[in-house]
Amino acid sequence: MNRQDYRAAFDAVDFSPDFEERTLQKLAAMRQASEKEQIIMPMNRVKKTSLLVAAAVALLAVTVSAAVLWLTPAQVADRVEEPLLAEAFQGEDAIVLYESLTAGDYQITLAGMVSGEDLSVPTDYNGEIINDRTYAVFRVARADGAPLTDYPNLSYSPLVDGYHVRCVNAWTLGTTTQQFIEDGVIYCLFDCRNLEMFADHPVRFAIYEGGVPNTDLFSMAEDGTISLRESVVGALFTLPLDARTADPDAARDFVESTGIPWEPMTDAQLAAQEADEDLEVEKFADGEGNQTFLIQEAS
Amino acid sequence: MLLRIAMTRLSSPADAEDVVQEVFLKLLTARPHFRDPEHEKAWLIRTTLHRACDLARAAERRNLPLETAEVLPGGELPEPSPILSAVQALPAKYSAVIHLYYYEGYSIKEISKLLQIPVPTVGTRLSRGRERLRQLLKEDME
Repeated sequence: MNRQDYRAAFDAVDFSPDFEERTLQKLAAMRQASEKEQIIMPMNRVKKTSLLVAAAVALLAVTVSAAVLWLTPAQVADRVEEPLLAEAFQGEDAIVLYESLTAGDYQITLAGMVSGEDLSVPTDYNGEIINDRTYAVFRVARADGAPLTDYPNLSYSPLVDGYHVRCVNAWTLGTTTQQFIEDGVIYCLFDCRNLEMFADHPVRFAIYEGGVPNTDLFSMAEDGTISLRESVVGALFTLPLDARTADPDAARDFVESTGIPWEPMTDAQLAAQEADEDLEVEKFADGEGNQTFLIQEAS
Repeated sequence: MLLRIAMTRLSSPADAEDVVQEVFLKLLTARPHFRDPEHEKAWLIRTTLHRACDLARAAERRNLPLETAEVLPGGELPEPSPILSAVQALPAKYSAVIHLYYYEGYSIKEISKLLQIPVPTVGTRLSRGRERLRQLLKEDME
């Protein structure tokens, strides 16, 4: 018997798909009951309890395949007073992910997502109300298990392979985020224009240190695949959207409406462009119709 | 991780799930004090193992193999993996060490810390557990 056979035997065990959800509900109910008791507890006891749960939560992400102590996407939507969205997160169309990646000092878990019309309180985005939206819930915890007390300097943005990162991103897609810290973990509800229109391309969700997506932060391969630059601290998730929901016409209309060049640029193309920009072209005419161009490096 | 650890003692995934749920409920209610995340991890692993052993023993006392309680709706039991069955047949002291070493990839020193037993004892249990597992798998093949 080798390690591979051993692992395969245990990986083949079929645990209930709703185990995490059921356990989470039980724990949440117990925690709620416990919070009521804590109202009359001295403050130091309350603080100790919160730290304990935070450590358990961070530890679970590392050690347990099912992270069972966290709030579910539906509970997060409830906390930010979005009852319709909370319901949608429990519906059949919701995508449960619970996928974790480490980015620098943080462990980021994309918990779930759902798309649809009129699922949240309408908000004005630069004078336009966009009711058809994609919602994602993720959480950020410190990788070392210490509780978070403040919001880290991270940006969140969807990106779509085959489109320039400057054209399709959180800033052009009319994004809002609502976040709160509970038990040392940040919960974030992210929403933007419905991403399903791009579902015939790999759709990424980037969480990274930096501002508006640009070519210093992300690279684009010849086939349009987007990656984080090695120097950038961050995580890049791939959203499991159903390709059948794609709407290429709507996607084209959207990218054209941004007025930003949408075609991705590889590093080689960027280098060529930069070289062009570094050259000055001077034109000389001799008065007889002959023209001479002098190309030299910009000073 | 804890679900799989529970499966080293229990033949039913549903029982393993119950055990892990109980462990987390205990974590919230008992609120043990931990020095650091490693200490907490060790507590979770040991508590899961103890609870799973308790449940397995209780089933044995009732002379009711746990697997008989988990008959699928179709009336048939899933075919257990020979490796899984062999690990479950090992004494708990061997299966815990074997699992943490083979599945979770912990070193002997790390297992010693997690289970709070001396390093040489881990080495002995790993070696004897491996030998017993080999015999059990050989018998199964025969």
